[in-house]
Amino acid sequence: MKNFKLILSAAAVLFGCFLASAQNNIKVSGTVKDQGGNPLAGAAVYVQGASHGTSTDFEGNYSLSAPSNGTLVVGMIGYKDQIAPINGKSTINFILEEDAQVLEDVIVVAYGTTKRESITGSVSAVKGETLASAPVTSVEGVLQGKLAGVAISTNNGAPGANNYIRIRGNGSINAGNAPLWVIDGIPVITGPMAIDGNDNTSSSLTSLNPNDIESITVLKDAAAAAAYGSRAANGVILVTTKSGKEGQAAFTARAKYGISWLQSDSGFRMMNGAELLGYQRDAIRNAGLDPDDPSSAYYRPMSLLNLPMNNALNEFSRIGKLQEYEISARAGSSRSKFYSSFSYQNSEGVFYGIDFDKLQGRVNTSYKLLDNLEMGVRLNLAYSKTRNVPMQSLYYSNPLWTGETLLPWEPIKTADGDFVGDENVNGGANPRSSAMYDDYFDKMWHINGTVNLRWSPIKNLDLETKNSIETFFVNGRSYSSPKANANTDANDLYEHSRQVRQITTSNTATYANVFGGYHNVRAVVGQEAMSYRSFTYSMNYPDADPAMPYFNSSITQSLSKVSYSESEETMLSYFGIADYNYDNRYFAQANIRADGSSLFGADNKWGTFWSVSASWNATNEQFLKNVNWLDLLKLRISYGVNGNNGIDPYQAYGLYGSASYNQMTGYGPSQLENRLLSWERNKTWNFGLDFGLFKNRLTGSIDVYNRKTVDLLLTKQIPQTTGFSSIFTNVGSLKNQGVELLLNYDIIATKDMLWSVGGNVAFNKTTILDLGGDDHLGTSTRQVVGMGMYTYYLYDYYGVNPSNGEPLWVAEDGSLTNVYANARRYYAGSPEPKAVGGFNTSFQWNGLALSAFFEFKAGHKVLIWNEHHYLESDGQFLDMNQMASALNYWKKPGDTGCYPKPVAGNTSNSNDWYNDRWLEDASYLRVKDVTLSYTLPQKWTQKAHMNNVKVYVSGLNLYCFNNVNFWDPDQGNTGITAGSYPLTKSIVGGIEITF
Amino acid sequence: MKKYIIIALAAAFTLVSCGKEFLEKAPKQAQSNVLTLSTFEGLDQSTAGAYVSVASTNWYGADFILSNEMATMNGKRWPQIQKYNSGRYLDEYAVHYTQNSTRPLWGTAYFMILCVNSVLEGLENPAIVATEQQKNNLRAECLFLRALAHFDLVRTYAMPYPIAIAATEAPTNLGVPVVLTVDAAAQPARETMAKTYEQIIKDLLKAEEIIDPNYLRAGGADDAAKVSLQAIQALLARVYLYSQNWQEAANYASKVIGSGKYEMWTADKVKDGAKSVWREDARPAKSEVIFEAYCHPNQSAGSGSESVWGMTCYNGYGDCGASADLLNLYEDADVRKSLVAPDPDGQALFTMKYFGKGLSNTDASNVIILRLSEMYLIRAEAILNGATVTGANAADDLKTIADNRGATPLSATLANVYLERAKELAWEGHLWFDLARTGRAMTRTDISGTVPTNIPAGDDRWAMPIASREFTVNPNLEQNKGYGKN
Repeated sequence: MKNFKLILSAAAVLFGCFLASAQNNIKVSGTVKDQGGNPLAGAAVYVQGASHGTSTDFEGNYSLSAPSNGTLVVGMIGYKDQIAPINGKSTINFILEEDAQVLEDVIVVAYGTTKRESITGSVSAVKGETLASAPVTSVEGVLQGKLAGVAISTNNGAPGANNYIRIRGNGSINAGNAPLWVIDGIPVITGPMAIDGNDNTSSSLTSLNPNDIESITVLKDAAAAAAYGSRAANGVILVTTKSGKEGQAAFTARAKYGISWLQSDSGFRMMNGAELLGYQRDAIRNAGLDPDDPSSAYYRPMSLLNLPMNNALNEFSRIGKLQEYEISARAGSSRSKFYSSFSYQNSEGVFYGIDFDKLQGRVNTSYKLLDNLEMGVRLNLAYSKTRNVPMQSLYYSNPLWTGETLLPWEPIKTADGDFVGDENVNGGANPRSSAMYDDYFDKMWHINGTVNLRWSPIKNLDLETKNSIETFFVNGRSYSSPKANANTDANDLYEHSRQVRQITTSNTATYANVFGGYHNVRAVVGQEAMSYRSFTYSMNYPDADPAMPYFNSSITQSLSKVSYSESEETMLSYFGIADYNYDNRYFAQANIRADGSSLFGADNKWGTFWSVSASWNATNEQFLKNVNWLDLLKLRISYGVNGNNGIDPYQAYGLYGSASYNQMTGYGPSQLENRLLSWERNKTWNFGLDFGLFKNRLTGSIDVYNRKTVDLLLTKQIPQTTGFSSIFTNVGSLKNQGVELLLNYDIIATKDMLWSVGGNVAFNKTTILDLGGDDHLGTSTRQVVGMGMYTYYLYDYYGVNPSNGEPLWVAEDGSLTNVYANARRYYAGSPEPKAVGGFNTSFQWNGLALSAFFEFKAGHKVLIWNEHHYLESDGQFLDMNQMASALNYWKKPGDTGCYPKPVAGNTSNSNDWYNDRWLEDASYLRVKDVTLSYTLPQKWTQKAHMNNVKVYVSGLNLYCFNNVNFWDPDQGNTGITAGSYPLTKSIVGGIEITF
Repeated sequence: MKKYIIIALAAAFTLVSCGKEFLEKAPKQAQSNVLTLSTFEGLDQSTAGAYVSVASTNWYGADFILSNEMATMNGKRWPQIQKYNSGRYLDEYAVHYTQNSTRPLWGTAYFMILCVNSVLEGLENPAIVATEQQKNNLRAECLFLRALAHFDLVRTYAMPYPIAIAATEAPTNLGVPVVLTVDAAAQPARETMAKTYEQIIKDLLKAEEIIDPNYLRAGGADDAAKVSLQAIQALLARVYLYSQNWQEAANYASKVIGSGKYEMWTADKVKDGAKSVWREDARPAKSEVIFEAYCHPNQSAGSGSESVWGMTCYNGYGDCGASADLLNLYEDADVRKSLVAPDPDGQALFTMKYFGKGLSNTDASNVIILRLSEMYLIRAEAILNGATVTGANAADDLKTIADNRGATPLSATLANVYLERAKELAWEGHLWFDLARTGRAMTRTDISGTVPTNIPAGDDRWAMPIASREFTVNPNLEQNKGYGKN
C-alpha cells in the first residue's frame, strides 16, 4: 500500500506541474478517431508552441484549456499529425490518417512500445508476418540469420530439440549465455525439459506456436535490455503474441505437410563392403598378419563379400514426415478483443523411434470493464510427447552411430526378417528393435497464463499489473526390452517426473505526455517479484519383469533406486525507465533496476543495474530537411551495466550434507560459504548509425559494441589447508567486441511488383581477460586468457611419413616425431565463428512470391573427434565400418597428403581424440529456406467466401556449402558432438485460408 | 468499483513487501552451515561426521597405511601375476613422488581439521543449549581428531623429527601449516617442527583434561572407533615418543596399560591368520584395540576395492602384497607368522590383517590405529632411553608381547624393541615412520622390479612433496627439499 501511495503522489506532482498555468483560455474538447471511425485512445493533443498538453481517453475524447486564437496539434504513433486552428471553437474533432510507414515501425521494447525512431539502444525486430512465412516448427529456428548479431546453433537436429542462441557472443563461462525470453511482458522458463537420456530434448519453447507471434524484438545492448537488470547480460528476446483486432472476425486455417531426409553435402559417406574389406586386408597385412589365415583373430577372407551386404544407415533411417494443422480466430469490438489458436503437429524423425507430437492452444482476450479499465487474459496450453532412441552419445543403440559403424557384412535382421539384438553383433543392441520394443519418451505438459489489469485513473497515466503462472509437468520413461538388448541393460526401467512452477507479478505505472509540442516524455516505475520452484525425481528398477515392465504397486527389492532433487529461487525487483525526446530530434533514455535474488550471498543479495543512452535524428534537423535523397540519418550511443544470474541455487551457502560413519549418521561440510557471491556484471558500450536513402528504398544500420564482463563466476582454486580445494566466487573478466551491419534494398517497388534484397553480418570477438589467477580452465577444450571462449588444445599432427606410411607429429622443438607422446600440444582453433549472418531476396508479382534465404557462419572450426577416432581409426577398430575418406591412405613410398597406412590394432595414437588432424574449417553457407507461394486472386476466393487463400511450397536447408567431413557443419556451441541427430533437409508444402 | 480496483492494485504492489524473507531460500537437501552449527544436536552430528575422514581411502582407509607399508620391507608387489597387477601402488612401492604425484592425505586431513574447527567455533556460541561437560566431550573429540590430523600430516610431509628439530633453516626445520580456525581466505605458512608438535600436544592435553573419563559417543556399532580418554592418552604416548620426551611417553603408555580397559590378545587368538582376532567378528569383548578406523560398505568412506581390504586381499586387487623379508622375521612358533600367508595358488604373499568382515563382494576391514601392544613397546623403548616407571621395565614389556605370540622373548635392547615393533606392528603403518624417527635407513631385499633397496637416513625422500597446486594458491608455503613447486 505504501508503494502504491508513493507512486500515486509522485505521478500527481508530475502531472500537477504542467496543469498549473491556464489563463485567458477557453475550454476545447472533442474526439479523435481514425479513418474507420474508431476512437483513438492515447493520442497527444496540445497547443502549438505552448506547454499545454493532454491525451485522449479510451473513447478518444479530449478536453483542455487553450488560447482561443491558438492552434491545436494532435499526434499519435502510427498516424500523421493533424493541425487545427481553434478560432474560438469549443469543439474540434479530428480524424487521423494512418501513416503506413510509421505504423510499421512501432516496436515492442522493455515495458512498453515505442517508435523505431525513438530507439536509443541496439534493438532488432522481426514482425509476425516474417516469422509465419517460413514453414518452421520452432521459434528459435526462424530467427536464424535474420537478425544481426544473433547466432543460433544446435547440437541436435531432432524435432523438439533446443537451440543455442547467442546474442553478441559468449559473455560468461559458468553463469550461462542464453538470452532472457520475455513473452507478453513476463520472463519465461527456457531450455530443455527432458529429465534423462538424450541431452537437449523437449525444449520448453516448443510450446510457443510461431504463428501466434505478432512480433519479436531482440534487445542487444545494455541500454535496450537494462530494464531487465540482473538477467539482461546476454540480451533479451521480447515476444508479443497476437491480440484480437477491432472489426470483422477472421478465421484462419493452416495445413502443412512435409518430408525430411538425411544428407551430407560435403561428400561424407561410409565405406561399402568391398572398400572396407580391401582396407581391412591392407591393415592386416601392414600388421604383418595374413587376412586369409582362418586361425587368426584377423581372418578377413574375400569370401566375406559373398555374404548379403547391408547398408545399416538405410535400415536405421527413413524419410521423416512433418504435418501440422492449425486454426485460429481473431475478433474484436470497441470493448473486447479476442485471439485464439489451436494447433497439432506431428513429426516423424529421420531415424526410427524418434517422433514428436504436440498439441497447443492459445487464448488471448481483453475486455474493457470501464472506459479506463481493461482486463486481459493470455493463456497458452501445450502438451508434447518426444519419443526417443538413445542418441547424443556413441551408444550401441544409437541408430546413427550403429548405422555408421556396423560392418556391411554383419546381419541386421534375422532370417525371418525380424530386427532383434544379436549378442554377437553390436554389443547385443539393434537400433531398429530398440525403436520397436524399448520405451523411451518424455511427455511435457506446459501451462502459461497471465492475467493483467490496466487502469488509467487520470489522463496520461497507466497503472498495470500482470500476474503470471507458468508450470511444467514432465513425465519420462525408459525401459530397455530384452528383445532389443541381448547383452546389457535389459529390463532396466526408469520413470522420471519433474514439476516446475514459476509465479511472476509485474506491476508498472507509466506516464507519457507531450509538453509544448516538443517535449515527449515517458516514465515508467515498476516492481516485479518472481518465485520459482522445481523438483525432479527418478525411480530406477534395474530388474523389471519383461511381462509387466512397470513399477509394481509395491517394489521391495533393494536394488531399486530413487533420486530426488529440488530447487527454489526467488527474485524481487524495483525499476524505473525514463524516455525523453525533444522535437523528434534529440532522444535520451535512462534505466535503473534493483534486483534482489535468493541465489546470492547474504551480504550481496541486492544489485543495481542501469543504463543511459541518447540518439540524434539528424534528418529532422532544419538543415537536412531539404536533402531529398536522405530519409533517415540517426546516431545512437549507449552505456550500461547489466547482470547475469544464471547459476544454480544454493551456491552461496555453506552446506552440510549427510556423512555416515560407524553406523551413525553425521554431518559433514559439502560446500564453503560465500557470503559475497554476486552477479556477473556486463558493462556495454554501443554506438549505432541508422540510415534510409532514396525514399527509404535503401535502409540499413551499423552497430559497434564493446561488452565487458567482470566478476565472472568461477570456481577459484584455494589452498587445501582451508579444507576445500575450490570455492565458487566472482573473479575474472572477459570482453566481447563486435560490429554488426544490416542492409536492405528494394530493387523494384511498383504497385504490382516488389523485389528486394537484404542482408546482415555480425563480427564478434570474445577475449578472456582474467581467470582469477589461472591462465586457463579446462583440459582439451579450454578457456585461455587472451583467447576466446573455447580453444582446442591439441597435438600437432604433421602428416604421413612418405617413406613408410607412419604418422608424424611436430615435437616441441619443431622436429618431426613418430611418437605421439613427444608431440607438441598447442592452441589449435576455436568453434566460435568470426562472422555470422544471412541474406535474403524476395520477389513478388501480383499473388506470386518467391523468396530465398541464406545463412552463413565463417572463420571457425569444428572437432568431430568422437566419430573420427573410431571411423578413421587407421586400422585400430576393425570391428567398425570406416568413413570413405579413410580410403585415401598411404600405399607406397612417396605417397603424401594421405592418411597413415592402416595397421590392424593400430597403437600409434594417430587416431587419438586430441589430434589436430580432426580439426576442420566449419565455415558454411546454407540455403536455409526457399519458398514459392501463390495467393489466389481475391475475386476468385471471395466467390468461395474466403478472404485469402495462399498455397506454398518450401525447401528448408536444401543445401549447405561446406567442407566438413561429416553430416553437417553445425556442431553446436562447442563444435563437438557425439552421435548427434544431424540437421536434415526438408520440403514442406502448405495452404493457408482466411475466412 | 474504483475502491475495489485500488485495493486490487495495492494488493499486487504489496504482494512481496515481505522482502527479506522472500529472498531467503535455503537448500532442503543439505543443511546450511549456520543451521547445522547453531544447535548442540547439529554440532554433535557434525562431530560424528568428522570421523569419516579417518576412514577415507586417502587416510587410514587405504593410502596412509598402504603407501607407508609398500615403501618398506613389509610390502611387495607381485607384478608377474597378472591379477595382482592392476597398476596401483607403483610409485608408492618405488618411493617415487613428485609435486604432481604426491600423497592424498593433505586435502583429507585438512578437510577433517575444517570439520572439527567448525564444531569447536560453533561450541563457543552462548546460545548452544547443553551442559559444559557435554560441550567439553565434543571439544575433546574434536581436539583429538585435530591432533591426529596434524600428527599424521607432519609425519608425512615433513622431515623426520630428529632431523627437523636439529635443523635451523627452512625447509628442513619445518612442520606443516597448523590450522586452528575456519577461514576460507587463509594462506597459512608451515610452522616449525617444534611449534607443530607443541600444538599437537597442547590439543591432546586439553582433550585429556576436559573429557569425561567415561565418555563414549552414544550409538554406533564399534566403540573402539570413538574417541575416549584412553585413546587420547595412547596418542599422547605415541606423540611424546616421536618427539623424544621419553618420560612422558612412558607415563602415558602406563596410564593406558593401567586403565584395565584392554587385554592382550593371546597366541591362540592370533594363530589363525585370516580367521584370527584380526577379523572384527572374531574379537573378544575386551581387546587390544584402543582406537581404530571403522570401515564398512554402507558408510561414506573406507570400503571397497580401493580400500585396505581391497588392495591387500587376494580376493581384491591384491596389488599390495607382503614380502619374504617380513615372513622371515618370525620364528616358526610365532603365531604372527600366520598373518603373512600365501594366496590359494601359493604364488604371492599377503598380510592377513585385513581379510574383510565377510560382508559381501564389497567388503572392508577396520584399520587399527592405536592398540595395547604398541603401548608396551612404547614404554619399553622409553625406558631404554632413560625413562623410569615404577613397577615396569623394558624386558618385562618385551616379554608380555612375546609370551602372547608364542615367540622367544628378546633381551632389552633398543635394537630388539625396534625388531619387536617390526614384527608386531607390521602392516599397521608404523615401520616407515619408526625408521624415520630413529634415524635408520630403509633396507629390503625381497623386491620385484627396480625399486630402491636402501633409502639412507636423511634422504629427501623421508618427506613427501607438497602438491604443486598448493603453491599456486598459497604464496606463503614452502616445498620440501628435493622437490619443485610447479
